Amino acid sequence: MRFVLSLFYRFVVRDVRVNWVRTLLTIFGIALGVSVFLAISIANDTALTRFSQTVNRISGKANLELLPLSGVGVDQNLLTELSGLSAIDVKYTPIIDENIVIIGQSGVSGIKGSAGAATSKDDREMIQLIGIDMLADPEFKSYQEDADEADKKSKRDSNIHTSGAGAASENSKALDLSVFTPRAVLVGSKLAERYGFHEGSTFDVLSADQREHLKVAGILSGQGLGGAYSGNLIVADIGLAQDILHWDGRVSRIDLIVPPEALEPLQEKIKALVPSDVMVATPDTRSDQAHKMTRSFEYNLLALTLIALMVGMFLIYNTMTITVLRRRPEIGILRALGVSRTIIMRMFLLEAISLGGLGTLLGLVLGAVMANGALKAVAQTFQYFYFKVPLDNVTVDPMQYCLAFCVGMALTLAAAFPPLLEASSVAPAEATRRASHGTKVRSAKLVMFILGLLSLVAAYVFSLQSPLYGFPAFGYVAALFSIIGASLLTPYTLGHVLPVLAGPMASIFGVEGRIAARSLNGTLGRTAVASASLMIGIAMMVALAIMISSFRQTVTAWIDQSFKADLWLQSQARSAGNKEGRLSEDVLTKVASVKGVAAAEGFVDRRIMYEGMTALLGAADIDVLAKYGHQLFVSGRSSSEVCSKVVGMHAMVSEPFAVRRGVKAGDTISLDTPQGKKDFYVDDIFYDYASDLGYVIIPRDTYKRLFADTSISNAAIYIDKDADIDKVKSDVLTALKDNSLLSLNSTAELRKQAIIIFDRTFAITYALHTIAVTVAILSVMNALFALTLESKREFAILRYLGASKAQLSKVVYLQAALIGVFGNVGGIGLGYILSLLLVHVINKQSFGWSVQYSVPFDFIIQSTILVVFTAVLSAVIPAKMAARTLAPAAVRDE
Amino acid sequence: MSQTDLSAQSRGNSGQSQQALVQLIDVCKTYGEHQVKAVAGVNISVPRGEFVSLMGASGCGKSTLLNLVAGLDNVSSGTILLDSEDISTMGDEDVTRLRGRKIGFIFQFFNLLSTLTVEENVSLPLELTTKLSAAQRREKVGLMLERVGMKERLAFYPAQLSGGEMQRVAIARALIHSPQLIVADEPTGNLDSENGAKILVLLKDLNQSMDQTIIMATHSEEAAQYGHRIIQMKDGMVISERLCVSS
Repeated sequence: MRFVLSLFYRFVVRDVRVNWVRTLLTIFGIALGVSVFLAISIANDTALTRFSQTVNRISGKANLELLPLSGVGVDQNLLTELSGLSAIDVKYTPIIDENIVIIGQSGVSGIKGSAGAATSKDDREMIQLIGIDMLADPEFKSYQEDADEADKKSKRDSNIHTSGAGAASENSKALDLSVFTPRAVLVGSKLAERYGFHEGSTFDVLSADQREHLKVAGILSGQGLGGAYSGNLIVADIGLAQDILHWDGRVSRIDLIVPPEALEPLQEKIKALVPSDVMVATPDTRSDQAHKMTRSFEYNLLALTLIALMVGMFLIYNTMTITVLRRRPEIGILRALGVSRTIIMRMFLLEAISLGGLGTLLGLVLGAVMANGALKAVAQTFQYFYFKVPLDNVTVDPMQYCLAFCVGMALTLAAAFPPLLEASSVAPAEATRRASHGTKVRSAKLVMFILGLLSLVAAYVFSLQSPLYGFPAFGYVAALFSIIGASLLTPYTLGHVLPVLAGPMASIFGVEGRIAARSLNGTLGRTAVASASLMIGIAMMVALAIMISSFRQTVTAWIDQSFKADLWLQSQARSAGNKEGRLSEDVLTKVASVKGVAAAEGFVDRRIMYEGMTALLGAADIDVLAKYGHQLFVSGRSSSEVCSKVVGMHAMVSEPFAVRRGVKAGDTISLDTPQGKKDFYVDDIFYDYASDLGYVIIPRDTYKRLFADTSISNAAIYIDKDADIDKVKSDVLTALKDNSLLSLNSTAELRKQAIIIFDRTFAITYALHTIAVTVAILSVMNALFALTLESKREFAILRYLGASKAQLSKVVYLQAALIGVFGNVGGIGLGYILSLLLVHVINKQSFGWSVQYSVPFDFIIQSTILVVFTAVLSAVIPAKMAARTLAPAAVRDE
Repeated sequence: MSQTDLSAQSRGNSGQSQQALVQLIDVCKTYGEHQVKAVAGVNISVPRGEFVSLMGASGCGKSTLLNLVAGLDNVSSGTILLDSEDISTMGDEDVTRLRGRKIGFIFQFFNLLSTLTVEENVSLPLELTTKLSAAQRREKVGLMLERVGMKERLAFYPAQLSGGEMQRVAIARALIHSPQLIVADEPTGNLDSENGAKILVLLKDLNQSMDQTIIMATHSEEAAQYGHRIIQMKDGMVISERLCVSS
C-alpha cells in the first residue's frame, strides 16, 4: 500500500497540480451535482420532519387520535361516548388544530376588493390556532421549563413566561390561569418576537369573514407545545378556539392516551364506539398521509437532481479518461518496469476517490448553504397544496449528509470504473500508441449504437407500463433508458456527421473550420463524452421547459374556459391562504339580489379521506353551474349536459381523483359522511388543475343534508350581459358591507393569482435545470482543455506552417461551437423524448393531470443560442492555451 | 577561406559575391536560469540556391538554430536576416506572416495532421496564408504531389502511408507555397536507408531544378554530402565549414 501511495503522489498528485484548472473544474462539477441533491433532500425532509414534529408536539403523549374522515372536525359529543373508557385508564381530550390568519398592526377592517383600499399582503399571515382543554391537557403535554435561572425563581409554574417575569419551575404542570381571561391566548415565542407581543398585547385574527380581537396572556417558550409550527401559533382554551372558528360543538380531533400494552385491542374497541366517518389512528398516520400526499412532488424533484448528478458523472468519466489517455506512455513505462495491473488500477482508483471525495465534500458544504434557498423554493408549494407548517429554516439531519456523500462517491466510482479498467489494461507495448482509446471507441461505436437503439426501445416499453402502487416507477426507468440510449448513440452519430461537416465548415470558416471538425472526429471518445454531457443538461432544460409550458398553457386555457364567472367572492382568510375560511350562505342571497347579477353560485369544499388518501369533497350549486358554468369533461360532453345529471346522490370527480384511484365514469364511490357511508354514482370526470389531491363534487343540497353545513367557501357571481361590471361590483360591495372581511376579485385577477402560484411551484425546477446546464458547460470546458492539450502537436505544426495565434484560437472556438451545436441538437431531441415522458407518463401517473402538449419554440431558440454562446465562451481559456503553444517543444513528441 | 568564398565556391561562382538569403550575425541563444548556451556566437551566411547541411551530434544546437532562423524562437543576442529582413527584432505576427510566405518545413517525424488527407495536408499552407480559390489550390497541390510522386495518394490519410511516402507528402507541403527557404530537420532520421536516400535525392533535385535554398540539419555524414556545403557544429558553435565532395 505504501508503494501505491508513493506512486500515487509522484504519478498522480504532481500531475494534478500541473493540470489544476481541469482538476478544479471536475471537483466543482461534482460538487454542484451533490449540492443540489443534498439541498433538495434536506428541503423535502425538512418539510416532512417539521410536519411530523408538529404532529408529535401537539399530540404529546397521545398514542391514538380520532380524526374526521368526512367533516370539518369531530362532533364533541363523542367525548360522552368515550367516558366509559376512563375506567380502563384511557384518557382523552379534545383538540382544535386549525389555520387562522393574523392581521398585522396596520391592518384595517372592511371589504377588500380589487377597486377598494386593500391592506398589504404583508400584514396578513397564516398561523396555527391550537385549542386545548386547559384543565385536562397537562396529562397529554409535557410542558418543559424555561432554562433561565431567573425564571426558576418565578412563582409561575408552566413553560409560559412573559417579558416581565420568569417562567415556571421545573416539571410543574399547573397552568397560568390568565388563559381563562376573556379572549386571552398564549402566543408562540417566534410569533411574539415578530409582532413585538408581550403580556397584555392585543391583536386581531381573521376567521373566515370575521375579525376576532384577542389578548396575549403569556408567551410560550420554544419547548414542547410552544415549539410546534416553529412557534408560529396561538394556544387558547378550547372553548375560545371554538368561538373564534365559529365551530359549535366541533373539534379538530380527539387525542387519547391508552395503556401501550393494550393499544391494539383498545383501538378496535374504540372503533366500535365511534361513527363510521371518524377514523381511529395513531399520530403517525397523519405523518404517513402527509408523506403520501407529497411523495410525487418530492420524487419528481429528486429525479431532477439525479440528472444533475448524472451530468457530473460524465465530468468524472471525461477527466479520468483524459488522465489515462494522456499518461498511457507513462503507464506503459511503469508496466515495463514491473508494476502490476492491480497497482495501476489502485493508483487511479485513489485519484478517482480523491477527486470524488473532494468534490462530494465541497458539495456537502454547498448543499448546506443552498438548503435554505431550496426550502424557500419548495415551501410555498408544500404550504399551498399540502400542509400548512412553517418552513423557515432547515432541519439538519446527519443521515441526509451521509446519503448525499454515499450517492456522490458511488456515482464517482461508477463513472471512473471504465477508465480504471482502461488504465489497468495498458500493456507496455501499447504505451506509444496514443490513439488506441480513440480507436477503441471508433471500433465500438457501432456496438454502442445498437445498444443505444435497444435502450430507446426499452424506454418505450417501460413508458407503456402502469404505475407501481401509484408511483410512476417505470416512467422514471424509461427516462433513464432514454438518457442512456441517447448517450450511446452519440459516438456513431458524431463519427458520421463530423466528416461530412468538415467541407461546409471549411467553406464558411476557412481551413480552421475543417481542422476543428476533423480534430473532433479524431478524438471521438472525448468529443462524444463532452457532447453527451451537454446533451443531457440541455435535454433536461428542454424537457422541463416543454413540461412547464404545457402545464401553463393547459392551466391558462382551463381557467379561461372553465372560470366563466365574472366575479369571485371569498373570505379574506381564504384569500390569505386559509382554505378552511368560510362564508355564511346568506351572502348568496344578498349578492343575487343586486341589480345586474344574473346568478350567484355557492361552492364549499373540505378535505376528506378516501381509501386512506386525502381528497377534496366539493359541493356546488349544480343548477347554476349547469346554466352558466363551463366545466370541461374528459368525455367531451357539454357542461350543461353533465351537470343536469349530477343531482341527488350523483357526483362528478376530477381527473386526478379518477386517475389516482382508478375511478371511471359509471362507477360508484362510497364516501364517509356524518350520516354514515353513502354511495355516489360518478356521472363524469372533469379536468381540474387546482389540486392534485382530487375532487369529488356533489350537489350542495345533498351536501347540506348529509353534513349539516350551510357555509360556503366561495361564490361565483355571473352578471347580466349588458350590465356594467364595475357598477355591479360596487353594488355587491355595498350589499355585503355588513359581512366584513371579504375578498372580491375578477376572473382576470384570479387568473393572475393562479399563474403566480403556478410559477412559484416551478421555481425550484428552473433553478435545477440551470444547475444541470452549468455542470454540462463545465464538462464541455473540461473536454476542450483536454482536446487542446491533446492537440498541442497539431497546433505546433500549424504554427510552423504559418498559422497565427488567432487562427489557432479560432480552431478551439470552432471546436467549442461544434460541441455546443451537437449538444444542443441532441439535447433538443432527447429533451423532446423526456418531455413526452414527463407530461404523458410521469406527471400523469403522479398527479393524474392530462396536459396539452405545448412546445415553447421561442424559449428553445433563445436558450439554444445562449448555450452555444456559452459553450464558445467556455473555450476562452483553452483557446489562449492553444495560442500560447510553444511550437518547437510541442513538435518533439515521438 | 572566408565564409563567402566557401559559399561562392559551393555554387561554382568563384569571385562573384552571392546575395545571402539567410544571414546569422553573432547569434546566441541561452535557456533557463542556468543560462545554458544552445547557440553561441554563430555567424552563417546562406546564399540563394545553396543547399547547406548543418552537421553535428545530438544537442549541438542544430535544431535550435533552425528554429531561430524560422522565427519560432527568439535570439538572446545577435541578428538574423531573412531575405534582408531582420526577423530577430520582429513581432510574433510579422514573423508568423513571413514564415508562412517564405519558409517551408520538413520534420524528422513528418508531422502531418492525421485527421487530414494527403491533399488537405499539402494544401494547408496555401489555406493558412493565401487567398487562392479552392480550384487554384487543388491545381497547385496536384502538380506538387505529382512532382514528389504522390499524386495517386490524394485521398489517403497519413496512417495509410509508409514513412517514405509521408515524408514525400511533407516535402510537397513544404514547397507548395513556393517558399524561398526550405528548412529540413533530420528529414531522413525516421526512415530506412533506402527511403532516406530517395528523400535526399528528391531534395537535391529540387535544389538543382528549382534553385531552392535548403538548410538541412543532420547527424549523418552521408546525408550531409547531398548538399553543397557542410557546416559543422559542436556545443552551439560553428567549428568548421567545408564543401561537399559532390559539389
